Amino acid sequence: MNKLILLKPFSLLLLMLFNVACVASECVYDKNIFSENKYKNNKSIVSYLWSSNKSEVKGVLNNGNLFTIKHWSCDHYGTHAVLIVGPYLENIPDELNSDILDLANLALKTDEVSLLKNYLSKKSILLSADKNKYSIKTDEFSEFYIAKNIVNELIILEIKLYKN
Amino acid sequence: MPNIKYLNSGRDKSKVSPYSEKVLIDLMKSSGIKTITITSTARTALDQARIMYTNLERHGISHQKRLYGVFGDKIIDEYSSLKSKGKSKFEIINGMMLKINAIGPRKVSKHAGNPKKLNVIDIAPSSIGLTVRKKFESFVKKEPRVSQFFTPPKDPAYHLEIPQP
Repeated sequence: MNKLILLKPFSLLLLMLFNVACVASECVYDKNIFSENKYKNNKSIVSYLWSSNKSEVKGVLNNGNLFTIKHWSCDHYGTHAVLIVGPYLENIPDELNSDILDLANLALKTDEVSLLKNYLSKKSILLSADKNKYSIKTDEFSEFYIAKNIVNELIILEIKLYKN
Repeated sequence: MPNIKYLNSGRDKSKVSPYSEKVLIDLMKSSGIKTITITSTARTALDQARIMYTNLERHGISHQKRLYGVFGDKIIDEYSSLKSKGKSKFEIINGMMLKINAIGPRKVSKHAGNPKKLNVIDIAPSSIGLTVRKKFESFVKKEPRVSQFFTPPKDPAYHLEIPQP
């Protein structure tokens, strides 16, 4: 009888663990697609902080710019990358394509970078342009866009893509 | 009057029922939102098979295997098996569709299923102002006509599931 009482919580714990394992494997996309390895050996990064439970990295590039990148891979697959350029820029660029490509190379997968490169080869993203958001038309992603904003002395660049 | 925009109107507009549009309009009115952009909707198992076939042809099997979880991998295995048998594109997609239905479409994509029974809608967070997002989220959470709701930052988009009457 006593043994049974002791076994009960143990079996409940096992059952709970089994349920958690089942829920984890119910993800549509592989939860391990994104890892710290992508950023570990990147020579353009001076310092970074990887949060594995959020699948998010924040850091500083060797040119001093700050970045934040968040990845998703469960119900949806996606990446949102943000680069803060400046302040105190000696030369303020008007064309932002190279900064956007730097951010893409840092955050995206090769085939996603190719899509973006293809788009940028036909389009200049200008700081002086009134338009702030550029949607990349693709049948593969629900949404894929580049955005640029000026906040006082800073230029904020964003790339976001996701699919389901 | 609140306005619902579609990023891909040709593909998605017909997949959102008037009932679901009414639910969204009511939520927008309550939260004081003038415009939202829908980026994705529900798709049938056949649509899902077509999408997966296109991506497999575009990127290859190993690329797609890295991307998907265990259930998606089973659909990829079906593609691989039918392809190695020399089956036509139509036969492969059909086989993949049958496999998706056998496994359960929602295990392969949260957007796959029967749109007549369940409308699945992704809304671009960027289409909703930062100052009204919390208000919008609290109204959706209280909305009995919405059965499932995922929010940023846990997901990249606002994901709503609306069972059809």
